[in-house]
Amino acid sequence: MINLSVEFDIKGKPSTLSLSIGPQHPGSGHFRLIITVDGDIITDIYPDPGYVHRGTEKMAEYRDYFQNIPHLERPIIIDSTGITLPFCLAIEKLMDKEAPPRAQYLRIIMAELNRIISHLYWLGIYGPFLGHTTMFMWPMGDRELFIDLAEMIGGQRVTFAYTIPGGVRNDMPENFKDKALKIFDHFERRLKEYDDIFINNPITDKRTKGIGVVKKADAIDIGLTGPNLRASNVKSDIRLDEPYCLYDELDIKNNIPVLSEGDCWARMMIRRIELHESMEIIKKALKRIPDGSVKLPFRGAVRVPEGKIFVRTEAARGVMGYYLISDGGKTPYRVKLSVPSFRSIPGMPIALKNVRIGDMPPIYWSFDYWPVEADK
Amino acid sequence: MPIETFEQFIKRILTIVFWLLIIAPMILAPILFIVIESGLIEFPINPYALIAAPDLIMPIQLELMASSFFKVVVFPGFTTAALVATVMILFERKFLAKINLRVGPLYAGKFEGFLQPIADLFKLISKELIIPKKADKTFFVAIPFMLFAVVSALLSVIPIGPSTYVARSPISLLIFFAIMGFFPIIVLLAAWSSSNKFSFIGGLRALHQMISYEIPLILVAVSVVILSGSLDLYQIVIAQKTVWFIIPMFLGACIFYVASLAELERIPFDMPEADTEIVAGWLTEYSGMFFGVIQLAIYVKFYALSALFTVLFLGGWSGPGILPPEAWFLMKTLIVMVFMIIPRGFNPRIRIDMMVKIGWKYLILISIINLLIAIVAASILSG
Amino acid sequence: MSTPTPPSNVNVEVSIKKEKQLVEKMKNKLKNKFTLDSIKPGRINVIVLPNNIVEVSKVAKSICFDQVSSVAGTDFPSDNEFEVVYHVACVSNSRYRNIIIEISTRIKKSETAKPVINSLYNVWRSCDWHEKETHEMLGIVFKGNPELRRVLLPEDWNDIPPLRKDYILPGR
Repeated sequence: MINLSVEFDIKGKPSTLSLSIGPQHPGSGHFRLIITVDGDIITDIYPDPGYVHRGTEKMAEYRDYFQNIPHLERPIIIDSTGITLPFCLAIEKLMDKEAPPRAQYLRIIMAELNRIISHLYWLGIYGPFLGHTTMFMWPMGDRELFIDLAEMIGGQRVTFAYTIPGGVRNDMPENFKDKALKIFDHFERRLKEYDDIFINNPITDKRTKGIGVVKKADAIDIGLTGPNLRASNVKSDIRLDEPYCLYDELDIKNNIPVLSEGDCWARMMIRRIELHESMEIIKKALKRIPDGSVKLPFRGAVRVPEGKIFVRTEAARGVMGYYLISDGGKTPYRVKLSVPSFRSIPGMPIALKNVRIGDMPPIYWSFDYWPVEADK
Repeated sequence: MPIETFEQFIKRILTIVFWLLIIAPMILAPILFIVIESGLIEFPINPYALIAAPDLIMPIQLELMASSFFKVVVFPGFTTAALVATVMILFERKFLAKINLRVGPLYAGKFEGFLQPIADLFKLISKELIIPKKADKTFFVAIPFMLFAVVSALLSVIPIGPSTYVARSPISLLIFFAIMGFFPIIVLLAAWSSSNKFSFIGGLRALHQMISYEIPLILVAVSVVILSGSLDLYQIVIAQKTVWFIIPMFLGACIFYVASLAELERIPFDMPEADTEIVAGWLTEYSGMFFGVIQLAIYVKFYALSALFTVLFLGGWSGPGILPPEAWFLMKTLIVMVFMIIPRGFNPRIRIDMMVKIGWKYLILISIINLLIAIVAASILSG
Repeated sequence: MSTPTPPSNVNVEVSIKKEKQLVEKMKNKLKNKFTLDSIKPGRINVIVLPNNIVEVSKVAKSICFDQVSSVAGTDFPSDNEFEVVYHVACVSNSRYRNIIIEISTRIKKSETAKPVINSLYNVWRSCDWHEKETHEMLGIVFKGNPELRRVLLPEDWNDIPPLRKDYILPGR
């Protein structure tokens, strides 16, 4: 007899309830969080991922390297460059080749565009979790402008599979730079409106400041990465620490924000500041982009020599790591993805300790947990 | 022979009534026209004379309109309230859509989706009525109608014009607040009889909220009573002939505004229905026509509280004589309702403990200050 | 305007002084409890026997490595072994932030017993969920992990752990 249910017994005082903020819930995405509630205070949290597990790593062993790029893109479809770029970097490092400089700059531009697109999606869901319906429509509407930009280069709105081992698929069109600068101007004005209506709203301040604090030592200890770690006073960013793709030629030391409070408000502000800073990085890259070819010539299938390598880059949600073992054949022997959302699961029991039910959606979503990516 | 459930029976009856209502006028109208034109039958009221020479027909009409049946059902009772509620539902959706940079309902009806509420009504009628297995069936089915009945009773004491009211009593303000005391009980019954954890949490939240915010409402109403000198809503409107009470009692009007936002469970006070935390609060298990009746009741309550605001602070039906007084009243009420819709466009919702703190600490304090202002203003105005 | 960049596909000499210093520190404390596989710019690869892994990790933590990036388990049926690889990064010390140490061990497969290895939960808390995932995907038991439970697979999974090479994907 298969026992598919988790225990729901009511331990302790008679006033405790066990709630399943489950996969079928308007406030959770495809992720289950079983909480025990005493009155209005949450006393126990049990995260239960795995609703949309597909076996990405196992399936990657049956596809060759070019087929793996659209396959590995699917866990994070809204941040497509963030998950295909480290894979291509790993293959290039094992083959001991480097992509041409124009391709590296195009990769930077696409990675930062993806960061903006992903953060706008996050902001568009954070508003309704707090009850602010206008903040669903405005970011989603402005996100369409950036998706148009991405479509000009990549050819598709969301899953463009733009990076390939050895460079990128195609060059950017000539009118890209003018259109991009126009859109950035418009979006800077829109960011001021977002500030007025949502980010500096006194009710938002009350709901997010001081809630869900993760201190610096805890954050490093349990494995948080990316914006979640930078909100707890740790200046850790792979673009600065271990620059890939010619990030070290653009001086981006001042474009990485760090905040020290560690609460929901800090995690929200980091992403809001990163929206602005990513546009600055794209402007810098557009100024310095050299001419040249955009991919290395490959004949036939990609054959990667034997070896193993670990590569990490800064995706929109955190550090994306790939451990690639190749045995010299057409398909990889083992691909291990270390996704940022999976690493932020242990942060939830710490941040959700002894808060009210009403605080649970803002804290949960402030970690920018993407269930499909964590379940691989 | 298949057994027909109660829901299918109701559906059949409703379908027949619907078709009758559509087909009957189409058949009857030409017949009536022919009959009237040819003069075969004598009618006491000639409908065409009504259009041609209204003064001849007016006495009969006025007598009709003065009967209590007309007052309860058509104007200013049941039908008016339902119409105002329906119009406000659509207006709210379009208004919020414009703030959100989108269009709102657009396709039902030729002009900007004005038939959307009718489309919603037909959709809700056609849905299956789901009653959860463990729910308390009597209360579960009765609650939507109880809610609507209580809300209609609320409306009955508010005078719309100098002689247009359903019921008049020397203590009508007290009656209003007494009937309003039913709401927390009904909401709690709805939450408990649904037998669902999320409903239960939502019902408790609604209970906390409604109880916390009734006291500031009553205190502000008491200050208006001090200024006007009577508990009768009719007398309160007459006492505002010189100056509308919103000018001396501006603080009280603000408190009334905030407290009625909380009573109506509107954003920023909609924790009982916070759909990202507790699915839909105490309304979770209500679907189909139950949900339709509850939504209508909530919007009629919205209309009732806005009408009370108009009567207490904005001078009721007073206004220049170009339009009839009922029209002034309705215009003022609609403006108040628009002001209550606006915060929904740009505010998130607040948490339950913040809300309780605001209601018990700050609002009661400010309303007591408001009482003192009222006493001073009353002595100035009278002496 | 293009800035002069070195021609592509040329290996630029990058110094590995910092990595060599760290390996020296580890050798002083551990003598020969580990063997050095390779040192590359930013990567130190170390091979350890399963019995020594806890001690080596404690020394690595005391040097500067404080956050586990990933725990990967691989099945090598040709050698009849499982390989478990820990990648640990340094987050707090800004000097060594670009270095990752890779600690790999090999566990022999046996017909009768499940493969067992000591968990590094008491050294680094961040390896907790990765070890849970490796346990359910490969069947390796981490002794000392507080709760090894189902993380990603459905609750009624009754086949062999899927990342083993003898599990063939249905349809292939």
